[in-house]
Amino acid sequence: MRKNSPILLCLLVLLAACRGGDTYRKIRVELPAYSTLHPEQFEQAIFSGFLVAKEPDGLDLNKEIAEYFGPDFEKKLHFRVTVQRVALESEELFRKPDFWRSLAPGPSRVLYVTGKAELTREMRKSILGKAKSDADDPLAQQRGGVAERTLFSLSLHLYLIRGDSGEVVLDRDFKETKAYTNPKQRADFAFYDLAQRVRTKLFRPILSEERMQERYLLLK
Amino acid sequence: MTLRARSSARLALLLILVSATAAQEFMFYPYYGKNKVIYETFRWKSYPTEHFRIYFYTEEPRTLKNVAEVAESAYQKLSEALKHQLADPVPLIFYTTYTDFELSNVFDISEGVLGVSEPLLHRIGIHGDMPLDELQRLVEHELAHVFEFDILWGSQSAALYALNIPPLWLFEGLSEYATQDWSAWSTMIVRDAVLNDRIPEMTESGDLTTRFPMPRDPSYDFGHAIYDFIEARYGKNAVKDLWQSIKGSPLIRRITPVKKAFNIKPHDFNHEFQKYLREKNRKFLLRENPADYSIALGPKFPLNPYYFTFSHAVSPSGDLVAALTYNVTDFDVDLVLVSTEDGSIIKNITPGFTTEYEYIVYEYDPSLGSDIAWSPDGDTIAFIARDGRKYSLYLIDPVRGGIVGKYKIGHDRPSAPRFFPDGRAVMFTAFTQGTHDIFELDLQSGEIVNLTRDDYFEKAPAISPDGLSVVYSIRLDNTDKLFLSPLADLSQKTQLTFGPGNTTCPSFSTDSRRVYYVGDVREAFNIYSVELASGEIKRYTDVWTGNFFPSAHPSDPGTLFFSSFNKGSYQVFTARLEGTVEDRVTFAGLGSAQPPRRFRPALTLDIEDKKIEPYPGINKLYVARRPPIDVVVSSDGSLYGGAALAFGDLLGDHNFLVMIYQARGLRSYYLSYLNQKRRLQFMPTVFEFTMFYYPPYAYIDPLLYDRLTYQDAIAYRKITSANIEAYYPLNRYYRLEGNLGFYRYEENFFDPYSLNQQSSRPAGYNYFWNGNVLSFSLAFVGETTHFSPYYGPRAGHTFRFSLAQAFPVAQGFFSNTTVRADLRKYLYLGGDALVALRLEGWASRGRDPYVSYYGGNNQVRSAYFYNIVCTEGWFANAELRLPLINVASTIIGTIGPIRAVLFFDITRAKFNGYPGKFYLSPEPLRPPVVLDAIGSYGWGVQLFLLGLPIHIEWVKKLGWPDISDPFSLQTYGQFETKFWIGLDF
Repeated sequence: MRKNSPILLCLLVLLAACRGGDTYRKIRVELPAYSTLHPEQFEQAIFSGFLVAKEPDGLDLNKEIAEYFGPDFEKKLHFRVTVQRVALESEELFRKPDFWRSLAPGPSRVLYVTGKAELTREMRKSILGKAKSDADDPLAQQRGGVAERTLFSLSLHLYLIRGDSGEVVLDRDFKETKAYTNPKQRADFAFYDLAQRVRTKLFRPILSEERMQERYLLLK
Repeated sequence: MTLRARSSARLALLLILVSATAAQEFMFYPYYGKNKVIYETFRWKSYPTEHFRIYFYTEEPRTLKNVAEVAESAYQKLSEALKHQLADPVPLIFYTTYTDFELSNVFDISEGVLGVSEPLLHRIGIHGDMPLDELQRLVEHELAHVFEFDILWGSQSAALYALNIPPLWLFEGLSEYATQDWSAWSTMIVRDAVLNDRIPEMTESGDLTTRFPMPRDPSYDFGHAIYDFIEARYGKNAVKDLWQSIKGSPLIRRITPVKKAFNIKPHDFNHEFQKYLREKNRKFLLRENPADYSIALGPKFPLNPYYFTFSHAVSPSGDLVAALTYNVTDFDVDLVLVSTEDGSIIKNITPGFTTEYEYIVYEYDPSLGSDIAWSPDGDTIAFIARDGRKYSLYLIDPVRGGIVGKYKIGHDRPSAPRFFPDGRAVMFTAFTQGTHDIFELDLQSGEIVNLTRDDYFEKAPAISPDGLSVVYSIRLDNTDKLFLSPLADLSQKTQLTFGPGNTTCPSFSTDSRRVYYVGDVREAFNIYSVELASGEIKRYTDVWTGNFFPSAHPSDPGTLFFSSFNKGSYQVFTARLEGTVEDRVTFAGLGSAQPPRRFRPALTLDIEDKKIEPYPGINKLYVARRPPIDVVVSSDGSLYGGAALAFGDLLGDHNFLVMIYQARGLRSYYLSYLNQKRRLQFMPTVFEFTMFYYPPYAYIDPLLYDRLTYQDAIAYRKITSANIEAYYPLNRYYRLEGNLGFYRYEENFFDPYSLNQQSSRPAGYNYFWNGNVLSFSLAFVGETTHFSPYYGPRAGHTFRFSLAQAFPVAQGFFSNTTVRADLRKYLYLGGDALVALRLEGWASRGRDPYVSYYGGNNQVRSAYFYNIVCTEGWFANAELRLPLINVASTIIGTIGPIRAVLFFDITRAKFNGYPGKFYLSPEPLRPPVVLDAIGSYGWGVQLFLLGLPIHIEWVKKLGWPDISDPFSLQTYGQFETKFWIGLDF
């Protein structure tokens, strides 16, 4: 020990010298999101319909939205959920408090779920570049080229409106797309996939869910 | 005869092992294996539906229609439920019967497996020995797995690259959840665990575990319950959230799926989940606990090693109950006798292991009836066991335990044997051409007659003591109902039970006037009776789980014996039960009021014959498994690496294997084709192996002993070959093997100095092989050995006799004749303790005899690894293997099993033309001692680390200066510590 002490001392000094003068440290912390909505102020969510710009044949986008998001408002926010379609003529209605106030049923603490929605489907050619070998058939020749993809896009401009004041408490625009290799991909299934992405982005801030984020901790 | 050897010997061995198929005298794996006998070859065809390609061989058009409708209905249901579509048609392989399913070359089928799905090609394998509603549920379960594979890994074959394997409950739970059906069996397992406070818990890593014995992995039933809980707690969409979270799960620092999806810690999740289950089962809490009836008569695990009573039968005297149970110590199903007085185990009638049958048939599903029956005279017990292609009925003497009768049954999945009251015949149920009927087996002639011959699914028959009637259940739609027929004419069917729920497991009272049965109208199976004269229905129990197989005490009619599901297993109970009248019914003939309901799939399809195509066989090949990539660095710095690619056809009949391996600068190539379509299997192979090793020239020159190291002696051997092997299984245990092959051997030193030294030596034995071999060999192989999961061989015997002839057809071709015998015997002492004996001997004679290498590990422990070199030799081993610790919870975690071994071995060996002597140097720089035979004795321990069997042993050398006097043996040196990794012989 005695013999090694000077060497250890030198090493420690060297390490201390190399330590540098960082004034911050990068840390990962779970931080809650900020919410403009206070769920405790409401007890009922009414899906009052969406202005549908475009939807694939055979798909009722309004119905799908209510069926998909309704249970989440019920389970996550503990709201009573009802569907009450309102005749929406234009987007301007979303910003007319009187209109929404007039719809509100009595003193009930109601949140209207409405907005504008569009689900489009298109076929696109996709350039495969260097084609991967067919894994089920390792003896097959590799072929490059073009493949067809079914692309679905969901645009959802969501308004959450207070029933008592007609005030918009949440106004968010979502746009999600997903490509499928299956040319016969069903639109309702694609909506389900896309809505799931919307759902994650929508409820995280509403519920102030914690999320892992990188932050810099200042040391001086 | 030892030469100092070090690590590269192990490397050389590895390559030698790979070359086992070529160099027929090397044994590469310590067990020969039992045979999978392809008793029958099917003419496979395929039929496309919208989402499937169905592979089948049945000639029955109705069956194909049923399978197609069931499959498409399942697809529609699951696709809607999971909101997912499969891009490619699913290969659905349909085997008509369970025994045909066992012949599958795609799936490894063991008893109890109903269906299989695999993630690579999304193949589903099912069999048709079940009612249509159960087939529907089975296809839904297996197809749900295919949806899971597709959601998780993408299209077919994508799983080849998958590294992320989620916990089992995520798969099995979703498959059960997707069927939207809770079977009576699953419901009972969950409720029993909830009410007995035995709910499995999720660990921090996301796995589902339990400390308590359960009849099956909790991943199925509790996985299902977790999905129900997630839906109830977080909504239906949350199921997709869960799967989304698995998809993005990293390999390292994996976060449990529930934490990732719902931001809840496993600990809190467990709490919430348990609360949910308790609430859900609250209404059953005040019902009867099976322990209220009597002490549990049945096996009482862990007080005795018998866990679970699959079936039971009361002796004619009422003193004993025969119980079909699982022996936890032997990992085997046994028939035991239990006292009805105190529940003590009187005797295990089927101790140890036998080759008289493969396994005793047992069913988890009580609705199929008890699997055993006691003869009216009490002299024999009947059970059904797997025997070759199909099954046999066995009669066993309960006193002496010997088999006293055996009757072949050529039908599938026979069950529920019942003696006729006069003892001349046995009734049983079985599948025949897709329908489940009742049969009569004449015990005099062995003749079997189908008594029902209809398309109803009859099961669980019981014959009245007066011999006039038979009662049984029929599956109508998707529930079981009781029917009564005259024993003389089972086509006259009178329906005894009606309304909702299942009614099954019937038995007659001793006076034949009442039928006891069980019914689940109260969401748990309770004991009921129906008076045949009045139609009065009484209920006797109100249990929280389920009571089954009620039977009246032969001499005390008020007392019933029955089994009850309690704390994770069926146990036999007895009680005097006072029933309460629940109903009075009017019996009716089957279909007299309205046609009987039958289950039909949701979709109806028409089969177009023109779309049926014959299976093309080898037409298209698929990668069979993920190609392994191995890299090994040996202690001398040598690098060893390689990869293998296995591919075959869709049904696994034709299999190709390509391997490329490299050690140092030496490459080896291997290509084989295995055809396992028929009983006679064959495998043409071409290969070129290059391996390195160290030649044993010290053996023939004792002066060099201890003076050379392996680095001075490294040589290489290259074998180029084209050969064909054939295997013909005689039955499950014995087979014939043949090999015809051409081999070219090239051997030399690496080091030119060694080469020169060798060349200059006068007239030494030419242990390098350079030349050609054209050889033919035959072998007779047998293995009846039973294996335990960890410890390996446990009981039985194994042997291999082989004869190989190398023909000198031209100049440069070697000539020799080689015989080899390997005999092993395992004497089971119980509790995984055994005595293992082995004698292995060989002799290669002729102009160019084969050189064999052995020693070290568990062959001759005092010798170094593969350091005994000879053309003729033998060694013998005797080992006493004693388990010390099965599982131990220690401060470093759970360890075990650990086993001790006491061993003794002896060997003799010689080269042709040289004396059969060993040279042993007891002390350095002293002339070696000359011995006739060497060997060792000592003791050691065996443990498992990362799944590897590791042996640490203390070995004392033995030597026999004169083998004709066995007592001349002497010990040499101190106990040496040895370490090796490998499986026991």
